[in-house]
Amino acid sequence: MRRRRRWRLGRSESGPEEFSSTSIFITPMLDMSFQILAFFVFTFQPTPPEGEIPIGLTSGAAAGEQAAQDPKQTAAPGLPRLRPYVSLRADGAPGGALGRMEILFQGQRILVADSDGPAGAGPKAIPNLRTALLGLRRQIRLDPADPRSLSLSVQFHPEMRWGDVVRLLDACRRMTDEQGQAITLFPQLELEPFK
Amino acid sequence: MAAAATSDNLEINLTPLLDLVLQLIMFFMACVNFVSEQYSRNVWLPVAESAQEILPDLADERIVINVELAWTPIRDDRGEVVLDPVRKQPARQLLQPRTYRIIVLGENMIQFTDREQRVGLFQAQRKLRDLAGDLRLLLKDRPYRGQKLVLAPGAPIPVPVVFRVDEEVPGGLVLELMAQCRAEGFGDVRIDGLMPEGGR
Repeated sequence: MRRRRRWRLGRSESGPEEFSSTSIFITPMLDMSFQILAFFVFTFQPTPPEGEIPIGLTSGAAAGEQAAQDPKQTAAPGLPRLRPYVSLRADGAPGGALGRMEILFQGQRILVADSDGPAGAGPKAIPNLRTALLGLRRQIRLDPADPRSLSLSVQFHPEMRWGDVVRLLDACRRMTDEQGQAITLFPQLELEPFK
Repeated sequence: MAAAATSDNLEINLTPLLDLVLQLIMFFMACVNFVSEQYSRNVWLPVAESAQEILPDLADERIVINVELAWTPIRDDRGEVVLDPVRKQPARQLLQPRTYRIIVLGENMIQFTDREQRVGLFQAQRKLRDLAGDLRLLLKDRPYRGQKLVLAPGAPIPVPVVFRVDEEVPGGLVLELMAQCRAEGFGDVRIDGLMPEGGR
Protein backbone atom coordinates (compact mmCIF):
# COMPACT_ATOMS: atom_id res chain seq x y z
CA MET A 1 0.00 0.00 0.00
CA ARG A 2 1.33 3.35 -0.99
CA ARG A 3 1.23 5.90 1.78
CA ARG A 4 0.71 9.53 1.12
CA ARG A 5 3.72 11.65 1.86
CA ARG A 6 3.23 14.43 4.40
CA TRP A 7 4.75 17.69 3.36
CA ARG A 8 6.88 19.41 5.93
CA LEU A 9 8.74 22.65 6.11
CA GLY A 10 12.51 22.51 6.09
CA ARG A 11 14.98 19.82 5.19
CA SER A 12 14.25 16.25 6.02
CA GLU A 13 16.56 14.25 8.27
CA SER A 14 16.36 11.25 6.02
CA GLY A 15 18.17 12.86 3.15
CA PRO A 16 17.88 15.34 0.31
CA GLU A 17 15.59 13.07 -1.72
CA GLU A 18 12.64 13.88 0.63
CA PHE A 19 10.25 16.60 -0.46
CA SER A 20 10.21 19.80 1.54
CA SER A 21 6.72 20.50 2.94
CA THR A 22 4.45 23.28 1.57
CA SER A 23 1.31 22.45 3.50
CA ILE A 24 -0.43 25.31 5.31
CA PHE A 25 -2.51 24.46 8.32
CA ILE A 26 -5.63 26.54 7.65
CA THR A 27 -7.91 25.36 10.45
CA PRO A 28 -6.97 28.14 12.94
CA MET A 29 -7.34 30.68 10.18
CA LEU A 30 -10.77 29.33 9.38
CA ASP A 31 -11.76 29.43 13.07
CA MET A 32 -10.70 33.04 13.33
CA SER A 33 -12.50 33.92 10.10
CA PHE A 34 -15.72 32.43 11.44
CA GLN A 35 -15.36 34.42 14.64
CA ILE A 36 -14.89 37.64 12.71
CA LEU A 37 -17.79 36.76 10.45
CA ALA A 38 -20.03 36.04 13.45
CA PHE A 39 -19.07 39.39 14.96
CA PHE A 40 -20.03 41.31 11.83
CA VAL A 41 -23.26 39.35 11.35
CA PHE A 42 -24.43 40.05 14.89
CA THR A 43 -23.43 43.71 14.94
CA PHE A 44 -24.73 44.50 11.45
CA GLN A 45 -27.41 47.19 11.63
CA PRO A 46 -28.54 48.48 8.27
CA THR A 47 -29.55 52.09 8.87
CA PRO A 48 -30.97 54.35 6.19
CA PRO A 49 -28.38 56.79 4.87
CA GLU A 50 -28.45 60.41 5.93
CA GLY A 51 -28.52 63.27 3.49
CA GLU A 52 -28.34 67.00 3.87
CA ILE A 53 -30.23 70.04 2.72
CA PRO A 54 -28.36 73.35 2.50
CA ILE A 55 -30.21 76.16 4.20
CA GLY A 56 -29.80 79.91 4.09
CA LEU A 57 -30.88 82.43 6.66
CA THR A 58 -32.36 85.59 5.26
CA SER A 59 -31.18 89.00 6.23
CA GLY A 60 -33.27 90.40 8.99
CA ALA A 61 -33.74 90.05 12.69
CA ALA A 62 -32.49 86.48 12.83
CA ALA A 63 -29.29 87.18 11.02
CA GLY A 64 -28.74 90.65 12.49
CA GLU A 65 -28.23 92.19 9.06
CA GLN A 66 -29.67 95.22 7.39
CA ALA A 67 -32.11 94.95 4.54
CA ALA A 68 -31.11 96.31 1.16
CA GLN A 69 -31.83 99.98 0.64
CA ASP A 70 -32.54 99.73 -3.06
CA PRO A 71 -35.00 96.96 -4.00
CA LYS A 72 -33.52 96.77 -7.53
CA GLN A 73 -30.05 96.17 -6.20
CA THR A 74 -28.67 92.80 -7.23
CA ALA A 75 -26.89 90.66 -4.71
CA ALA A 76 -23.14 91.05 -4.68
CA PRO A 77 -20.41 89.95 -2.29
CA GLY A 78 -20.43 92.09 0.79
CA LEU A 79 -23.90 93.42 0.19
CA PRO A 80 -26.98 92.22 2.03
CA ARG A 81 -28.86 89.53 0.19
CA LEU A 82 -32.11 90.52 -1.37
CA ARG A 83 -35.40 88.89 -0.67
CA PRO A 84 -36.38 86.11 -3.05
CA TYR A 85 -39.31 86.73 -5.38
CA VAL A 86 -41.45 84.09 -3.69
CA SER A 87 -42.13 83.64 0.02
CA LEU A 88 -44.04 80.98 1.86
CA ARG A 89 -45.68 81.52 5.22
CA ALA A 90 -46.82 78.44 7.13
CA ASP A 91 -48.89 78.74 10.25
CA GLY A 92 -49.10 76.11 12.94
CA ALA A 93 -51.98 73.95 14.06
CA PRO A 94 -52.76 72.31 17.42
CA GLY A 95 -50.08 69.87 18.47
CA GLY A 96 -47.37 71.57 16.42
CA ALA A 97 -48.78 70.32 13.12
CA LEU A 98 -48.61 72.10 9.81
CA GLY A 99 -51.41 74.63 9.34
CA ARG A 100 -52.56 77.30 6.94
CA MET A 101 -50.06 78.05 4.17
CA GLU A 102 -49.86 81.19 2.07
CA ILE A 103 -47.58 81.96 -0.85
CA LEU A 104 -46.56 85.59 -1.21
CA PHE A 105 -45.71 86.68 -4.74
CA GLN A 106 -45.76 90.16 -6.25
CA GLY A 107 -47.90 91.54 -3.45
CA GLN A 108 -50.46 88.75 -3.72
CA ARG A 109 -51.31 86.19 -1.09
CA ILE A 110 -52.15 82.81 -2.54
CA LEU A 111 -53.79 80.45 -0.07
CA VAL A 112 -52.75 76.82 -0.52
CA ALA A 113 -55.88 74.71 -0.90
CA ASP A 114 -56.71 72.19 1.86
CA SER A 115 -54.26 73.81 4.26
CA ASP A 116 -56.62 75.74 6.54
CA GLY A 117 -58.73 73.00 8.06
CA PRO A 118 -59.66 73.02 11.77
CA ALA A 119 -57.07 70.33 12.53
CA GLY A 120 -54.38 71.85 10.34
CA ALA A 121 -53.31 71.06 6.82
CA GLY A 122 -55.11 68.22 5.07
CA PRO A 123 -53.48 65.38 3.13
CA LYS A 124 -53.76 67.28 -0.16
CA ALA A 125 -52.12 70.44 1.16
CA ILE A 126 -48.54 69.44 0.30
CA PRO A 127 -49.37 68.26 -3.26
CA ASN A 128 -51.37 71.49 -3.75
CA LEU A 129 -48.40 73.52 -2.52
CA ARG A 130 -46.14 71.77 -5.01
CA THR A 131 -48.56 72.45 -7.85
CA ALA A 132 -48.81 76.12 -6.90
CA LEU A 133 -45.02 76.46 -6.70
CA LEU A 134 -44.66 74.74 -10.06
CA GLY A 135 -46.98 77.36 -11.58
CA LEU A 136 -44.79 80.11 -10.15
CA ARG A 137 -41.65 78.36 -11.32
CA ARG A 138 -42.97 78.51 -14.88
CA GLN A 139 -43.41 82.26 -14.51
CA ILE A 140 -39.99 82.87 -12.95
CA ARG A 141 -37.28 81.18 -14.95
CA LEU A 142 -34.30 79.79 -13.05
CA ASP A 143 -31.55 82.32 -13.64
CA PRO A 144 -28.19 81.62 -11.99
CA ALA A 145 -27.30 85.30 -12.39
CA ASP A 146 -30.31 86.32 -10.33
CA PRO A 147 -30.22 84.71 -6.87
CA ARG A 148 -33.75 85.89 -6.20
CA SER A 149 -35.08 83.49 -8.83
CA LEU A 150 -33.39 80.48 -7.23
CA SER A 151 -34.47 81.03 -3.66
CA LEU A 152 -37.65 80.69 -1.69
CA SER A 153 -38.09 82.40 1.64
CA VAL A 154 -39.88 80.26 4.19
CA GLN A 155 -41.51 81.38 7.42
CA PHE A 156 -42.93 78.79 9.77
CA HIS A 157 -44.62 78.99 13.15
CA PRO A 158 -42.10 78.52 16.00
CA GLU A 159 -44.23 75.79 17.59
CA MET A 160 -44.35 73.69 14.43
CA ARG A 161 -42.75 70.25 14.72
CA TRP A 162 -39.39 69.97 13.00
CA GLY A 163 -40.65 66.93 11.07
CA ASP A 164 -43.36 69.08 9.47
CA VAL A 165 -40.86 71.86 8.78
CA VAL A 166 -38.63 69.45 6.87
CA ARG A 167 -41.68 68.08 5.01
CA LEU A 168 -42.47 71.64 4.00
CA LEU A 169 -38.92 72.38 2.89
CA ASP A 170 -38.86 69.15 0.94
CA ALA A 171 -42.00 70.14 -0.92
CA CYS A 172 -40.47 73.49 -1.87
CA ARG A 173 -37.26 72.08 -3.30
CA ARG A 174 -38.27 69.34 -5.65
CA MET A 175 -41.24 67.47 -7.04
CA THR A 176 -41.89 64.54 -9.33
CA ASP A 177 -44.27 64.84 -12.27
CA GLU A 178 -46.62 62.18 -13.63
CA GLN A 179 -43.88 60.69 -15.79
CA GLY A 180 -41.64 60.26 -12.75
CA GLN A 181 -39.30 63.07 -13.81
CA ALA A 182 -37.79 65.15 -11.01
CA ILE A 183 -38.48 68.88 -11.31
CA THR A 184 -36.45 71.40 -9.36
CA LEU A 185 -38.69 74.03 -7.84
CA PHE A 186 -36.50 76.22 -5.65
CA PRO A 187 -33.00 74.82 -5.08
CA GLN A 188 -32.14 77.30 -2.33
CA LEU A 189 -34.25 77.79 0.74
CA GLU A 190 -33.96 80.63 3.18
CA LEU A 191 -35.49 80.48 6.62
CA GLU A 192 -36.99 83.61 8.05
CA PRO A 193 -38.41 84.40 11.50
CA PHE A 194 -42.16 84.08 11.73
CA LYS A 195 -44.01 87.39 11.60
CA MET B 1 -7.62 -3.40 -1.53
CA ALA B 2 -8.28 -0.48 -3.85
CA ALA B 3 -10.83 0.99 -1.43
CA ALA B 4 -8.40 0.74 1.44
CA ALA B 5 -5.79 2.49 -0.59
CA THR B 6 -7.96 5.51 -1.23
CA SER B 7 -9.43 5.77 2.29
CA ASP B 8 -6.33 7.58 3.52
CA ASN B 9 -6.91 10.41 1.07
CA LEU B 10 -10.28 11.46 2.44
CA GLU B 11 -9.73 15.14 3.25
CA ILE B 12 -12.12 18.02 2.97
CA ASN B 13 -10.87 20.76 0.76
CA LEU B 14 -11.40 23.84 2.89
CA THR B 15 -10.06 26.37 0.43
CA PRO B 16 -13.40 27.29 -1.26
CA LEU B 17 -15.03 27.58 2.15
CA LEU B 18 -12.29 29.88 3.32
CA ASP B 19 -12.64 31.98 0.18
CA LEU B 20 -16.35 32.35 0.77
CA VAL B 21 -15.92 33.28 4.42
CA LEU B 22 -13.32 35.90 3.60
CA GLN B 23 -15.61 37.35 0.96
CA LEU B 24 -18.44 37.58 3.48
CA ILE B 25 -16.15 39.27 5.97
CA MET B 26 -15.14 41.80 3.32
CA PHE B 27 -18.81 42.46 2.55
CA PHE B 28 -19.70 43.13 6.16
CA MET B 29 -16.63 45.27 6.69
CA ALA B 30 -17.53 47.37 3.67
CA CYS B 31 -21.13 47.76 4.81
CA VAL B 32 -20.40 48.58 8.41
CA ASN B 33 -21.42 52.10 9.41
CA PHE B 34 -18.56 53.93 10.99
CA VAL B 35 -20.66 56.40 12.90
CA SER B 36 -18.77 59.44 14.00
CA GLU B 37 -18.85 60.37 17.65
CA GLN B 38 -20.58 63.57 16.63
CA TYR B 39 -23.71 61.69 15.56
CA SER B 40 -26.21 60.92 18.30
CA ARG B 41 -28.25 57.76 17.78
CA ASN B 42 -31.09 59.11 19.92
CA VAL B 43 -32.17 61.59 17.28
CA TRP B 44 -35.20 60.56 15.23
CA LEU B 45 -34.42 62.39 12.03
CA PRO B 46 -37.27 63.36 9.72
CA VAL B 47 -37.36 61.88 6.22
CA ALA B 48 -36.15 64.34 3.60
CA GLU B 49 -36.79 63.21 0.03
CA SER B 50 -34.77 66.03 -1.49
CA ALA B 51 -31.73 65.51 0.74
CA GLN B 52 -28.43 65.26 -1.08
CA GLU B 53 -25.80 62.67 -0.40
CA ILE B 54 -23.08 63.80 1.99
CA LEU B 55 -19.75 63.87 0.22
CA PRO B 56 -17.31 61.50 1.95
CA ASP B 57 -14.54 64.08 2.13
CA LEU B 58 -16.88 66.48 3.88
CA ALA B 59 -18.35 63.97 6.30
CA ASP B 60 -15.63 64.46 8.90
CA GLU B 61 -15.22 68.19 8.43
CA ARG B 62 -18.57 69.24 9.70
CA ILE B 63 -19.63 70.66 13.01
CA VAL B 64 -22.62 68.59 14.00
CA ILE B 65 -25.23 69.95 16.37
CA ASN B 66 -27.65 67.31 17.63
CA VAL B 67 -30.94 68.51 19.05
CA GLU B 68 -32.70 65.56 20.63
CA LEU B 69 -35.46 64.72 23.07
CA ALA B 70 -34.99 62.49 26.09
CA TRP B 71 -36.99 59.27 25.74
CA THR B 72 -37.32 55.75 27.04
CA PRO B 73 -38.06 52.67 24.94
CA ILE B 74 -41.57 51.20 25.16
CA ARG B 75 -41.67 47.64 26.50
CA ASP B 76 -44.39 45.03 26.22
CA ASP B 77 -45.81 42.85 29.02
CA ARG B 78 -42.84 40.51 28.84
CA GLY B 79 -40.45 43.40 29.23
CA GLU B 80 -39.18 43.23 25.67
CA VAL B 81 -38.60 46.36 23.67
CA VAL B 82 -41.35 47.09 21.14
CA LEU B 83 -40.16 47.97 17.64
CA ASP B 84 -41.55 50.93 15.78
CA PRO B 85 -43.14 49.46 12.62
CA VAL B 86 -42.11 52.35 10.37
CA ARG B 87 -38.61 53.11 11.60
CA LYS B 88 -37.67 49.52 12.48
CA GLN B 89 -36.10 50.71 15.72
CA PRO B 90 -37.31 50.70 19.34
CA ALA B 91 -40.57 52.58 19.80
CA ARG B 92 -40.19 55.40 22.26
CA GLN B 93 -41.99 57.35 24.90
CA LEU B 94 -40.93 60.94 25.46
CA LEU B 95 -40.04 61.96 28.99
CA GLN B 96 -42.46 64.37 30.64
CA PRO B 97 -41.93 67.25 31.01
CA ARG B 98 -40.25 67.31 27.62
CA THR B 99 -36.51 67.34 28.03
CA TYR B 100 -34.28 68.64 25.27
CA ARG B 101 -30.61 67.94 24.75
CA ILE B 102 -28.33 70.00 22.56
CA ILE B 103 -25.04 68.25 21.85
CA VAL B 104 -22.35 70.18 20.02
CA LEU B 105 -19.43 68.26 18.48
CA GLY B 106 -20.42 65.04 20.23
CA GLU B 107 -19.80 66.46 23.69
CA ASN B 108 -20.83 69.53 25.67
CA MET B 109 -24.38 68.35 26.30
CA ILE B 110 -26.84 71.02 27.35
CA GLN B 111 -30.02 69.60 28.85
CA PHE B 112 -33.15 71.53 29.70
CA THR B 113 -36.90 71.10 29.98
CA ASP B 114 -39.69 73.01 28.25
CA ARG B 115 -39.85 75.56 31.05
CA GLU B 116 -36.10 76.14 31.02
CA GLN B 117 -35.95 76.66 27.27
CA ARG B 118 -34.63 80.23 27.46
CA VAL B 119 -31.83 79.22 29.83
CA GLY B 120 -30.92 76.23 27.67
CA LEU B 121 -30.85 78.34 24.53
CA PHE B 122 -28.66 80.92 26.22
CA GLN B 123 -26.16 78.20 27.20
CA ALA B 124 -26.16 76.79 23.67
CA GLN B 125 -25.63 80.24 22.16
CA ARG B 126 -22.71 80.85 24.51
CA LYS B 127 -21.26 77.50 23.49
CA LEU B 128 -21.53 78.41 19.82
CA ARG B 129 -19.79 81.72 20.47
CA ASP B 130 -16.90 79.96 22.20
CA LEU B 131 -16.70 77.42 19.38
CA ALA B 132 -16.56 80.15 16.73
CA GLY B 133 -13.80 81.92 18.65
CA ASP B 134 -11.79 78.71 18.99
CA LEU B 135 -12.22 77.88 15.31
CA ARG B 136 -11.06 81.30 14.21
CA LEU B 137 -7.91 80.86 16.27
CA LEU B 138 -7.37 77.34 14.94
CA LEU B 139 -7.91 78.21 11.28
CA LYS B 140 -5.66 81.23 11.55
CA ASP B 141 -2.57 79.04 11.77
CA ARG B 142 -3.52 75.96 9.81
CA PRO B 143 -4.53 75.47 6.19
CA TYR B 144 -8.13 74.38 5.72
CA ARG B 145 -8.95 72.06 2.79
CA GLY B 146 -5.58 72.69 1.22
CA GLN B 147 -5.54 76.48 1.36
CA LYS B 148 -4.51 79.01 3.90
CA LEU B 149 -7.33 81.26 4.95
CA VAL B 150 -7.28 84.86 5.92
CA LEU B 151 -9.93 85.08 8.57
CA ALA B 152 -10.55 88.72 9.28
CA PRO B 153 -12.72 89.49 12.30
CA GLY B 154 -16.31 88.96 11.24
CA ALA B 155 -15.43 87.03 8.07
CA PRO B 156 -17.48 83.87 7.51
CA ILE B 157 -16.07 80.63 8.89
CA PRO B 158 -15.92 78.09 6.02
CA VAL B 159 -16.69 75.02 8.14
CA PRO B 160 -20.23 73.70 7.53
CA VAL B 161 -22.55 73.44 10.51
CA VAL B 162 -25.04 70.59 10.31
CA PHE B 163 -28.19 70.35 12.38
CA ARG B 164 -29.45 66.89 13.24
CA VAL B 165 -32.79 67.60 14.83
CA ASP B 166 -35.40 65.24 16.21
CA GLU B 167 -38.67 65.42 14.30
CA GLU B 168 -40.63 66.31 17.47
CA VAL B 169 -38.56 69.36 18.42
CA PRO B 170 -40.31 72.71 17.81
CA GLY B 171 -38.90 74.45 14.75
CA GLY B 172 -38.56 77.81 16.54
CA LEU B 173 -35.86 76.38 18.80
CA VAL B 174 -33.86 75.24 15.78
CA LEU B 175 -34.27 78.57 14.02
CA GLU B 176 -32.87 80.43 17.03
CA LEU B 177 -29.83 78.15 17.09
CA MET B 178 -29.34 78.68 13.35
CA ALA B 179 -29.59 82.43 13.77
CA GLN B 180 -26.89 82.27 16.43
CA CYS B 181 -24.67 80.27 14.08
CA ARG B 182 -25.13 82.91 11.43
CA ALA B 183 -24.40 85.69 13.92
CA GLU B 184 -21.16 83.96 14.93
CA GLY B 185 -20.00 83.78 11.32
CA PHE B 186 -20.97 80.26 10.26
CA GLY B 187 -22.22 80.95 6.75
CA ASP B 188 -22.81 77.36 5.67
CA VAL B 189 -25.74 75.87 7.57
CA ARG B 190 -27.29 72.53 6.60
CA ILE B 191 -29.90 70.21 7.99
CA ASP B 192 -29.72 66.44 7.99
CA GLY B 193 -32.56 64.11 7.14
CA LEU B 194 -33.06 60.46 6.34
CA MET B 195 -32.90 59.71 2.65
CA PRO B 196 -35.70 57.46 1.41
CA GLU B 197 -35.00 53.88 0.36
CA GLY B 198 -32.76 53.80 -2.68
CA GLY B 199 -31.84 57.42 -1.95
CA ARG B 200 -30.09 59.54 -4.47
